[in-house]
Amino acid sequence: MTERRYRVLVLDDDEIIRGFLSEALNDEGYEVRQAASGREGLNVLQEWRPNLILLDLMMPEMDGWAFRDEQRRRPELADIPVIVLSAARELQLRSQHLAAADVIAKPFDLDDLLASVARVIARNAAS
Amino acid sequence: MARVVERGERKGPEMPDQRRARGPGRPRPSQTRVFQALHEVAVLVSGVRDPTELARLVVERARDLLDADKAVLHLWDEEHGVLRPLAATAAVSLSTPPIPSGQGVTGQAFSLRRPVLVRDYAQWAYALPWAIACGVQAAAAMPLLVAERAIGVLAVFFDQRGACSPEQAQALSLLAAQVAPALAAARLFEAERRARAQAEASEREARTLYRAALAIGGELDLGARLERVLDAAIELTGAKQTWVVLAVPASNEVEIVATRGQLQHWQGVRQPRGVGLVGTVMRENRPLRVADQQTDPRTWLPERAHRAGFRSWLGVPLADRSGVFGVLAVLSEEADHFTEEDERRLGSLAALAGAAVREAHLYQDAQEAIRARDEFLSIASHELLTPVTGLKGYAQLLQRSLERGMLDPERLTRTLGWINGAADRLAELTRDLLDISRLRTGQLVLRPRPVDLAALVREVADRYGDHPSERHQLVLSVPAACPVQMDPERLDQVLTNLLDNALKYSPAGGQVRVTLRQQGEGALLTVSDEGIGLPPGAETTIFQPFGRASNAAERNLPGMGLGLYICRSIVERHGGQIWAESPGDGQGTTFSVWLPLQASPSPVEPARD
Repeated sequence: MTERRYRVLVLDDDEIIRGFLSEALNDEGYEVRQAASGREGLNVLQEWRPNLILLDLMMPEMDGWAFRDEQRRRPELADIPVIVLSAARELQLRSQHLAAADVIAKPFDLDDLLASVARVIARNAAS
Repeated sequence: MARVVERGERKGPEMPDQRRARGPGRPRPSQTRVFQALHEVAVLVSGVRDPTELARLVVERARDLLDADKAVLHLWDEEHGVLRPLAATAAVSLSTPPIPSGQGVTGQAFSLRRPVLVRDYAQWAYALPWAIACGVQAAAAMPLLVAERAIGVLAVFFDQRGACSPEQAQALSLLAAQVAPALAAARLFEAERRARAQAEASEREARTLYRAALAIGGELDLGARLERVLDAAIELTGAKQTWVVLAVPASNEVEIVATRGQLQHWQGVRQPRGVGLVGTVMRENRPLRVADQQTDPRTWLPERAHRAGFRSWLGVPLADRSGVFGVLAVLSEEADHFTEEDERRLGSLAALAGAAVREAHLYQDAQEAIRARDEFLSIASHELLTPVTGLKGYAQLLQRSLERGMLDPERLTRTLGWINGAADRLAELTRDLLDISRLRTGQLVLRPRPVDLAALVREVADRYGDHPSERHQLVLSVPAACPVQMDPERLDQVLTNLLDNALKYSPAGGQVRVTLRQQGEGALLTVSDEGIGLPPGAETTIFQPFGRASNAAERNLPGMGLGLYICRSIVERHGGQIWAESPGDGQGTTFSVWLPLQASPSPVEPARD
């Protein structure tokens, strides 16, 4: 298979969540990389450009808001779509400023999440 | 004219002394003059309402009518049992001492309720030495009688011995008889006027206090209530400068929390509790009126008071049943500015405001507690949802892989391991929450027994291994044995928490050192890391429930702010102490736990012989 697989970056400080998201996305045929903080995520992005970022908000060192700000500031990264995943209570309120392709509250339904991932990637690929 | 004199001779005043003596060459008052004087007094009586003014005019008439040198009108001061001068002719000072009943012509006339004529004053048995010193040689005094009661005395004085004829004395008695009822009426009128003025002032004050109570009660916010208190303080005392000081909770300080006038830049200024004028008011729980705070020995930092330029200081305690919690004060640049009345009024305001200010304080506390609880719920739900997300995610992953025939035993084992881990974390969080709940309700029971703390430390450290993570190294410095009496499970919990923290809050890695040694009557355990350290002030915050250091929150390091609160409660219940030290942000932290060797955990078992 020569066709390049779609790539997803999973950004979450929780090891368990990173784990099952990666497995589930792998099962779906995505190429997955993980990072535990915004800082780590930016490092990954320097050498590996994904088609989508799954972004947790409350993370140590650099949180989801700061990561998103930084990502949108960089022209080469700004157009990568982001799906926000968070258990933060004020999620609905504060996510408005994130300009995310989708916002999904934890805990979520895996089928719903994977559907959203596919939808966002397809939409982005088409445009 | 002769008839008047004759009648006066017959029915006139009884002279106790030298009653038949005649003045050498003193003219007898002519009938015309007497009538004229009486007429004038009658006119005066109907026109003058002020008793002092009336008395002043009467003494002048009396002196002129009798060709005397001086005349004085005294009134009886019921409260103090003395006769006080009300008015005197121009040459006489009113600062002469009050006269007791029975002394001098005035005192004699008052006590006998009869006229008294003395023609050789210096030789007279009841003479007042100071009156002799003033040059009095002869005198006549008439009681001012109203309904048989003496209300005062009208007296005239002569610089010449033998002066004053009985006729003159009789003219004086006529004058006295006419003026007495008028004076009594004027006095009554004056008393009533004063009472009415006082009643009006009291009513005005009551109305101000009532309005203040409504205004204060209309606010719930502490700051707004204090503003209304200051408004009322200004209205009641006319002061331009005023402030409120409140005790800072959980500290040994007081803080200026509200100001008015030129005191605005004092807002937020703190000073130790118990010092200065504020300290005096709070300690003694009563008002303090200081004429000049710049010279008063109780003033704290007198040079500061001098720079501020205020002199008069009046402070009243703000208190409720639990005691004094603050001071309401007014200040003035003028020395000795505030009166006893100001003190009373400000005291009334403080009594009224005390409960309201306290209530607002409690309200603020309650608001703070609600805010802390909401914040706790927010953090707790986030922390609880994370493992739940993992559990749900892995369960769904298993289901999907099973449906697609992608579930091999290796994957199943691994996934179940993750599920187990998420469940453990969920259980741990729930236990923490349960511990907190039991600590808060006092239901956490300790089960102390003899334990080797050194062995316990080694056991807990072994769980982490020499390298608890890729980046950390664990170094132990523990004696062979350290026997103590304690609940080992709880101490394990404390130690685990401290080690977990040391690892969590040194994300960049480094050494984590654990030491144990005997110190004094106890064992001192320390856990040091090379992590993010503590910003100033966080040393105490982190031991409060839900309290987290700002740098931990900024770095978004996960945590509920419960662990150290639980640790503190456990250590303190063992009769020990826990504290944290850090050179600053980014410079590592050392936690110290001191436990008594013969711990007496609470609740203590009753001693048995």
